[in-house]
Amino acid sequence: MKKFLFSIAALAALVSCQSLIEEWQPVNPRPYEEGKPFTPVNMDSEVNATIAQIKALYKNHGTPVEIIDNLIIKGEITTSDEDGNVYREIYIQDATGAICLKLGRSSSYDDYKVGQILYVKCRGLVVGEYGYKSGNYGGAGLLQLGLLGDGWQDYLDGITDTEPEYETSYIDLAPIINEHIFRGAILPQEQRVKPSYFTGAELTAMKDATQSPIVSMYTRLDGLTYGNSDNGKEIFCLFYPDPNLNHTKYESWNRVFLSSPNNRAKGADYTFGITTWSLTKNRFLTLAQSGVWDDVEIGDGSGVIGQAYTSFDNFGYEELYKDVIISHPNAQSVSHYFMYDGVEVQVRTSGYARFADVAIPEDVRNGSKKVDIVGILSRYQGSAQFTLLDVFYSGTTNSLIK
Amino acid sequence: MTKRIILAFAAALASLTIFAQGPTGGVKGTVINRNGRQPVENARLILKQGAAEIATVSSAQDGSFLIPELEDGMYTLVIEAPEYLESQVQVTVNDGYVKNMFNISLTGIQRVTEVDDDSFAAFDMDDSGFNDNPTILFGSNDVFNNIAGYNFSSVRFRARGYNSESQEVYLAGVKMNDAITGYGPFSLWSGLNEAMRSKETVNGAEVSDVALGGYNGVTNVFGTAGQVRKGLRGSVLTNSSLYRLRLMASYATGPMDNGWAFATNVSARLGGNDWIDGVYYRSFAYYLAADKVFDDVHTLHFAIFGTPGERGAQMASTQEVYDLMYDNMYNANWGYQNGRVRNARVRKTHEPVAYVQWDFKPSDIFQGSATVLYRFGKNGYTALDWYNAQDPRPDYYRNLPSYFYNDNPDYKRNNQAKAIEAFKSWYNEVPDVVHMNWDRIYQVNNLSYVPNENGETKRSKYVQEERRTDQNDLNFSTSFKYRPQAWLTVTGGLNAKWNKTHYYKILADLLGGQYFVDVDNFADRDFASTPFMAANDLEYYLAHGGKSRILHVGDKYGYDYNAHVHNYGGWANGEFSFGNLGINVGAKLGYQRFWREGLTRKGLFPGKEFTDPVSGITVQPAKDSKGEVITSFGNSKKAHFLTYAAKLGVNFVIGGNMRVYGNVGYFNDAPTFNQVFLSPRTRNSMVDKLTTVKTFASDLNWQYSGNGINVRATAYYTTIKDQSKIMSAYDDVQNAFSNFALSGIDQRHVGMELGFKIPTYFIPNLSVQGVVAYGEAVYTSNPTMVQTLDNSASLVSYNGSEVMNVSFWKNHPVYPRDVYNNIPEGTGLNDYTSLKKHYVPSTPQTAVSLGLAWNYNYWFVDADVEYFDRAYLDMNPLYRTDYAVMGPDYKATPEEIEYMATQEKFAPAFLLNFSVGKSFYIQRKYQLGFSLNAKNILNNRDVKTGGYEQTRMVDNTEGKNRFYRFDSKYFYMPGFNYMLNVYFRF
Repeated sequence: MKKFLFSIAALAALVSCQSLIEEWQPVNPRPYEEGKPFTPVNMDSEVNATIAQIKALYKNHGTPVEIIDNLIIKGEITTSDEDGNVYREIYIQDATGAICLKLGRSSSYDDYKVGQILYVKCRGLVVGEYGYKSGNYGGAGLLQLGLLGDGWQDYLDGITDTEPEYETSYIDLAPIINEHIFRGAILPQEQRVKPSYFTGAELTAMKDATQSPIVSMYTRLDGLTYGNSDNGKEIFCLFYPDPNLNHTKYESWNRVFLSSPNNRAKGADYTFGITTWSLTKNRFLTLAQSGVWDDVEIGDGSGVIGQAYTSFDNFGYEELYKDVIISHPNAQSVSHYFMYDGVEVQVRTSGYARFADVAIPEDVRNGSKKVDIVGILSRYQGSAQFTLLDVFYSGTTNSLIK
Repeated sequence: MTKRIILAFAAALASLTIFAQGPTGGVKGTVINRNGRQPVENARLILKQGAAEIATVSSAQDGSFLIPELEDGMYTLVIEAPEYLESQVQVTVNDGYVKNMFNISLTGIQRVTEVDDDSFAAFDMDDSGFNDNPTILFGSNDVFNNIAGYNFSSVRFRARGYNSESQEVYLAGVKMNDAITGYGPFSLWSGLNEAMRSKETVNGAEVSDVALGGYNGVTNVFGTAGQVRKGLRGSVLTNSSLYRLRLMASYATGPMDNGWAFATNVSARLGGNDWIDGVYYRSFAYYLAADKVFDDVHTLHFAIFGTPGERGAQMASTQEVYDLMYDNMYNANWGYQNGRVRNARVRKTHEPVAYVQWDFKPSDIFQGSATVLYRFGKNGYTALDWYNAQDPRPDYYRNLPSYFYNDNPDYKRNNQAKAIEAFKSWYNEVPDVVHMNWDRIYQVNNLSYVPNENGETKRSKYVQEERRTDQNDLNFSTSFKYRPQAWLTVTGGLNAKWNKTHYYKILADLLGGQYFVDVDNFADRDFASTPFMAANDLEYYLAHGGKSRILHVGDKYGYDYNAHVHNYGGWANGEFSFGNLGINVGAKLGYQRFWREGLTRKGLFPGKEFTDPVSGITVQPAKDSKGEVITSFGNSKKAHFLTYAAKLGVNFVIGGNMRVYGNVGYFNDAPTFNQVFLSPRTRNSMVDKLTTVKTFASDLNWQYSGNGINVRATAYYTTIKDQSKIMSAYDDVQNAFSNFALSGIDQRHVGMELGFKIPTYFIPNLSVQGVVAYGEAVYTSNPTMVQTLDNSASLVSYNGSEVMNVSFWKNHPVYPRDVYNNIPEGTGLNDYTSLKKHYVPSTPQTAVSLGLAWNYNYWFVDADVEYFDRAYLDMNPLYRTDYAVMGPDYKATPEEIEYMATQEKFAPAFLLNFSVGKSFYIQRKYQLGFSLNAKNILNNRDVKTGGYEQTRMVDNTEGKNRFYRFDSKYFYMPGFNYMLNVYFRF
């Protein structure tokens, strides 16, 4: 019996070792306590730069700038990706301007709230440009703050990659995000940034102003009329018949542009049956099947969707383009043209936005009613683009998309 | 003369009297333990004449037995007892005398503990579409199963490569395999080792007394009060690879003079282990049983038992993650919550089983049994669920270095800087990165601000759900054994099962938020502007003006349906004995039907026309390709199956100790519920062209048992045709939760088994023991596959075809190699040099154990070396389709075919195990003992025991001409581990 008791005692001693406590934690039936609450940081005393100063670091198109000084900026978040029209990016704004932060996380609005102060330690981050095009038909693009684009020389770590494609890349990785981005307080509604108003002339003026302070700002434009400057209706949408194959500008046989021709006609309708803010996968399929795009030209000018066949050399199979498109439906971004203060503004919506399938009211599309839009003023190849966050009948507060 | 006549007459009368009294011969003796010579109680003694069973008795408390009323002749007496090797002796009854055998000694089995559900860690297959169902081998009376069952459990060995569903498990004569999946039911009684210790097992296609069985053996657990060992027993056990502590107690009265017998068994299994963080047990078990013997004819058995508790699960990860953590035992399921370990995936079950069994024995030639058994309760499994939020799993592929950099530029992953940062955080084991980040989850929910009409503002983005599979399983089973002639024994029975399994999920934890909303996440993403499509409960949505239900802890949500399964069957078997030759012929017939009953109407598949109160749109129901309305609500069509099977067995006894026997069988079995419904969470749709599974099985065996020698050698050949399988997993290509329905899977299993235990003779009490299992279980067909999405009525089409050929399922071509790069040369697709077979996965097809066993004076010592080879990874059918090997350019190349279709073979493994034990008798009243079992003494931590290929492909490549696989996920065997059991009995 002594041996037995000794064995029990030895076993009990064994299982109660301090090192084993973790193993017993889940066994304890008491409920789990709430997790640690969020504690905002305050780094105001460390802030030593403005967004405008960061944007000013970018001097030459095509040359991303890696920030090697210990610059810390502070900005307020103006966007949320909850509705899906902003994706993997957040925009921050201070008194000097605004910039796109390439965070790289989906559903970032769970962690980064509209109206929340962000502190960004910029050392190691890169200011780069997206969407620059030289020449008369081009212009400056959008300045972004992220990591060095894949393939660029990293001066800090001495890492060399291969051919660069984009000037910046998403920060993406939680440990790097945590190293650079710090969440501060969420401002009460009344203290948050209000949307800025700009004139048509200001929009025109930003065409080549690379560091323009108004680009990326939280903006409101009132009294927009649906249509282009030729009194016509117009959208822009680029999609790829077989998205699994290459579709760069060098593979124009795998590109379709839903857009006006260079010599667009006055008063013409170039909306291609698209009456919603953009195209979800299902809407795309419906329109492709309906035949409304049958007369649209393939990117390489080889024929129209409803009649041309893919070439075996390019695609690996011969099939009617229309059938190829129908068998590869995908959500697509669409830009609708609006007129604002005498200037064309493209209002761009992602096919993954929650309101992608929402119809633009007929009275807006026929020009009998105007709209007010709220969003981020962006720029692509010198042209004003508007990333829609909300839209109302002009002069009202009733959202048309929520 | 007259006297002589009178005397002769009197003698004749006397002999008539004797005749009228029946035979007077018999056999008696005492069964004892060879080591220590203590009496063995409840040993089962079966007297045979040739192959015919003449009588069966049990030994009394003092080990004594008596088999009366035997005619003169030669008999074989088989003695079986739990924890002892089976023994046989020859006995001759002469001149009507009762032959006294005196002491018959039995050799104890040296197994430290029996294999049960606890021998297998719970593998969490996530939403991979694969399943984990280890097979448990029993058979204390079979030398192969006895050794393989324990020694091979660590690598999840499955006898002959058969899946676990084919192993029939009975309790009190009722088949207990899960009605929906067919899986073994062992978890129902894990922790009740004492109560469920008594069982009988037949192998392969042999016929059991309780059922005709299938082709992978029958195990019948008795589970009655009278079978529990008499007295009070207690044990304390620690198991370094599963749980820290097991406490167990049992008490049994044994049969009492008043005809009653009572038994109880309770246990608790608690704590974590040395190897897998986050895996823990908080499991309890109870068992209460009573027997009442009314007379020689009627006996009733009652029992109720259950195993309430929970256990944390282990998740598979990719080798990249294991390498980063420098630990093949890494478990992604857990993290720290306020410094306390919390596992997101916990199995929570309490499924009581109650039964009444009536034994009826009106005569020595007939006995019958009938059982009513009911299983009920809850079976839950927690998991994280999230709405519009990032995947919280730490080993999600976007969190790993490989997502940012790959040497092959075709992957377009060329950011070394990010890869290095990712590597650093894993290498340094930053807790927020390498474990579940509970703090962030709570913060996200806390910061959420979405006011609802109840005044609540915090809509949880992450919640913990509990997926419930609650069964109501009512069974009736009856069997009989009738021996009208000495040369004929007929067994048979009838059985019925009515199963209703309720599938639903409840909100288990809001994780810091205040409410959640009952919407389909995927539909909400894809059809955001038409919210009725995202409604999980459309009727609620319509009744509440277009709002979905607000959820709190304990509320049902998501899916809610019943699976109904009804089985009816009957079987009969005739056993014929002609001297040493025995033949059995049996058949069974069954009818099975099942259907789905949707309890909520999903917005995606309403099955009726309705008008959306929000948009005013009138919605028409979706239809399938045949024009039939697809619905999520109400009863589906019923699937009907007529099943049947036939068996023939031949058994020849040579010289008393040797036996040659063989079995053949043909089985026409119904598929299971989970192999028929395409997407039961969302709708009633079934697989097209339902068919039964056809199996032909045969085996030939040679067995020797005598003089302490036990040997069995078996050769087997089995074909299985027309199997179907449904796998559900998230598909990146389709961006949706997806279901892959495979049809026409054929397999062939060929091989041999050898088990032996032989005394060394030159060293007393030392035996050599071992098993060899060598087989080839391969796929022999290329099935077809259709893919559906949970949020679409249409079948997925690839290259214009809705039915995909899984063209590289059974094998793939091997091409000539490029001598410089060792990659297939770019020759024509038909210029291959050979075809490489694909194997039935997740079990070694070569398994060898060789060891020594020593027993003396209640000591036992076992030492075994084991070798395992030819184990293969479970295959993902998508990778073996024409679509996958052709890639985006629709051109297959030899390199693509070999890359995509090759099946991974696990590296061979050597293991060394050691066991020691001793029991002591104290004052001839108490028994105190211990057993220590050390496994994997060489601490081999690279032994893969399972895993799966992810149903995902890298499709956005630089060259756009091929796909790449996602890394496979694996489970590994723990390194050195031990189990120490200390027990006390009196």
